[in-house]
Amino acid sequence: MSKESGLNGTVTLEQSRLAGTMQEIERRFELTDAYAQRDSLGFVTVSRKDAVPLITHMRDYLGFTHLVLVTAVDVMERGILRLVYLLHNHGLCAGIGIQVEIPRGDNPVTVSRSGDADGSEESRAGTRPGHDGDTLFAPGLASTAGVSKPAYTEMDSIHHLWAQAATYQREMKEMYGVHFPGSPRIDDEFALEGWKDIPPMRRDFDTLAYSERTFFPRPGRETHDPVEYMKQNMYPDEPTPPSA
Amino acid sequence: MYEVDTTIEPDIIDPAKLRNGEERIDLDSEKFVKIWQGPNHPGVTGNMSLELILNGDTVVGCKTHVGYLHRGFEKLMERRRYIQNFPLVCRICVPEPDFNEYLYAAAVEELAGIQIPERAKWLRALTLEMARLASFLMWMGGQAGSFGMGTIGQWTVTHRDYVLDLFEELSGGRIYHMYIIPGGVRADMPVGYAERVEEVLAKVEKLLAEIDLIMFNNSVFKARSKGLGVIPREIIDQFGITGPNARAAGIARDIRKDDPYLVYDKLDFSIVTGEQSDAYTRARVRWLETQQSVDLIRQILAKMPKEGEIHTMLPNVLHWKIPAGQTYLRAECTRGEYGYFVVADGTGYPRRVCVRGPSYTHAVALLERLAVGTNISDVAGLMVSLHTYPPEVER
Amino acid sequence: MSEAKIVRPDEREDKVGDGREAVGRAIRLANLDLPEADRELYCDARPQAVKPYNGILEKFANWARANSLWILGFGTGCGAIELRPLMTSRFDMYRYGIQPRPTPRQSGVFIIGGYASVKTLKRIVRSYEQMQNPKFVLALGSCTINGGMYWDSYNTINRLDHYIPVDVYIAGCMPRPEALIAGFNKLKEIIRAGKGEGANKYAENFDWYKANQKKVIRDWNMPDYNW
Repeated sequence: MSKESGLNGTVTLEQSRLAGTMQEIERRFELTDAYAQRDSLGFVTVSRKDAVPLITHMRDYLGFTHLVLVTAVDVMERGILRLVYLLHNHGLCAGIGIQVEIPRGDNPVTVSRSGDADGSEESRAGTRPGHDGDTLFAPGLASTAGVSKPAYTEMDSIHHLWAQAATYQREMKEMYGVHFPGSPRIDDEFALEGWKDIPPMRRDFDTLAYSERTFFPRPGRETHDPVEYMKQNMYPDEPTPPSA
Repeated sequence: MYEVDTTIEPDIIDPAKLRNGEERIDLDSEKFVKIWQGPNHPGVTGNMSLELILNGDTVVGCKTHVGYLHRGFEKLMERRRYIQNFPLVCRICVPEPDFNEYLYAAAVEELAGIQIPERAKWLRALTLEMARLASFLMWMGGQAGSFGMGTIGQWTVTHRDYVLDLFEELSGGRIYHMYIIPGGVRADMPVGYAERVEEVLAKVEKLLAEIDLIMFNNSVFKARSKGLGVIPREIIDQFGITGPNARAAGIARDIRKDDPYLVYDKLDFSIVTGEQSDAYTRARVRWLETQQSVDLIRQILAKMPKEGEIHTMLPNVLHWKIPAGQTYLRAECTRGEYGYFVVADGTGYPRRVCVRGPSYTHAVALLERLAVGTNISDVAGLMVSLHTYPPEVER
Repeated sequence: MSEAKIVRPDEREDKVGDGREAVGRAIRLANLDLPEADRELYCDARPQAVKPYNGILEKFANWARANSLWILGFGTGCGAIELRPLMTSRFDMYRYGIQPRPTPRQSGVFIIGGYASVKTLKRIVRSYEQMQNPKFVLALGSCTINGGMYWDSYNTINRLDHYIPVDVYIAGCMPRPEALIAGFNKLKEIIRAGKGEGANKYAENFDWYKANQKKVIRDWNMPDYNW
């Protein structure tokens, strides 16, 4: 089915090629919501305690062996973070996105690392005592043993199912502040170095304000925002309209 | 003169002892060296670091560090309107930016319920295949260069430049085309374009034949790349390996065949596979896929409708609001499965755009696994043979 | 292996005053808190401005410098993609005497290709300081001028010349290889006219540059001056 068909939700899950899969899932798990985006893609929403069992079941019994991505959508209006796990079935050539809503967390808490199993994972890479796998001259950089980077919320990890999941989870911790206990290298910096502010992908982080504060903007940049332009030219005396 | 002290034993450790835990990596004992194959290194593809622990010449531990090219794309895309994002997305993946443009445009069209004209689909497919060609050519130069054969890099980058000239004629830009936009494509093919494309394709075919002679029949290349970085079939799904890395292991998966998009269901080609995924077979698979791209471009030019619209009328793009929804689209780029997950929330700005690059898994988890056990001089060749590209890891 | 004795600056026979405090007065050096054993690994020097030769000797030296610009082969951003066509046979920069060197010790021109993320900026500063005088910087693309397309990003810098001195800006996104060659020609004119004073500017305004760098680079785990 051509991707440019643009059919948005006019296929139901029973009509799509995921029908058999959905029957199997609905027999065993409570789904809050399920719909088909198109013939080869469906989205289901499960509760937090059913998420990892559902993912495991889909991987082991229903043929969804390919983990495409793990990401999060910050729904600040409802105070939740919606995690999305996209799984793909090569045999059916179809994918299902499993959505899990977890509380967003407003204050960072430090999670104890005593329960983490990543000590043994690190023996492969090797560490010098006191230098947590970091450069030789930076004893203070790495997270010290016992206390992890502060996190806003938590979710069960799936690093035991797919080796690549650990990378996604590391990025989520850095960008959204979601902690996954047990995931290897969860506190290692992924893309940012020396970041002290709140996790940048959260909606309440204002990247423009941060950039103007920290980096030196060159003067002379004008805005061509059409809302601004129309306001200046046509309605200079009226209050700003609600966002277009 | 110096006297060599022959009574000192070399500190090479039996790898079996490391595996079963009899020996631990202890950097204070003088058996290990930690080196940093860092961002400024001719042997890494793009800017990425490898923290390697060596015992003698063999790598016993590897940790990857990414983030040198992190620009915060996904956050920036949430601040711009849908139409303002298309110049931004092509810069995520530099060798083949058209896949980004196509996936973003197609995702927005799917969410907004827009159909694009037939000729636009063919033009999009043409651009994608040309991007694959350019990317493969540059990769071949890189792979040969990592084993010391610099001539091939000179030839392939030059021929890639001819392809970039074609792109410049079509879209106005050499590297970043910004040609595929929501609703279709930006401009039609110039007059006589097909003949010029055919000239370049003829040159590329001659070049590929020569590369076959001097690279794949070269005993040095064979000795260095056969058996290097073998990906066993069992870990392919566990690590999410896609593209030529997986096809070289014998797994026949190609998104253009399995889940055809654009006009690939009308084109005639077969999936290229190999026997065992080592560096040599992966190079061979990519060489065959380059030839396949040449053939596909010829087919597209022959089967394309001669006339037609290239762009659908969009609503006023500065006030364009897309109904709430989410979608995930994938395309087969030179490295593997490229995916865009777009979430719209009913306003004029996207809620979330998540880019899934194939190197996300290849360059981090897979590389850390494969590098252990290789010789330090082959690590660069291994990285290039996985065709990793850091910007799409950290976006 | 014979015992190598590390001689500290204030133990040298030919020491010229106690350099450590005098330097530490201006900016706070990164190695002052480290234990004694690690302090030798850092240096506590500052860059010095170099006076040019006199008259005809300087003209000759400038001519020689302009005609053999060796670039550091560090592709720091997007712009690196146009360095490949520049180095290979189609646009062949070697005929201009420009060749890529892998190490900053052997290069004279640093091409900053495009945007610089904070992580890369740290490496840029380190590589730039390790280059030997005279050294020049060529800034590619609009991202070095005013942040370019990533002007509101939390991880890319907006003005490169606040962190290292820049000699020539080449506008574009990306600039074509011909534009790069034009930029090199402009740099050659500047050098021949005796105006390629980036390294001296860095030495004279060292505190200002260092303060700007430290504002942005949070985890400073290298010497203040990597010479």
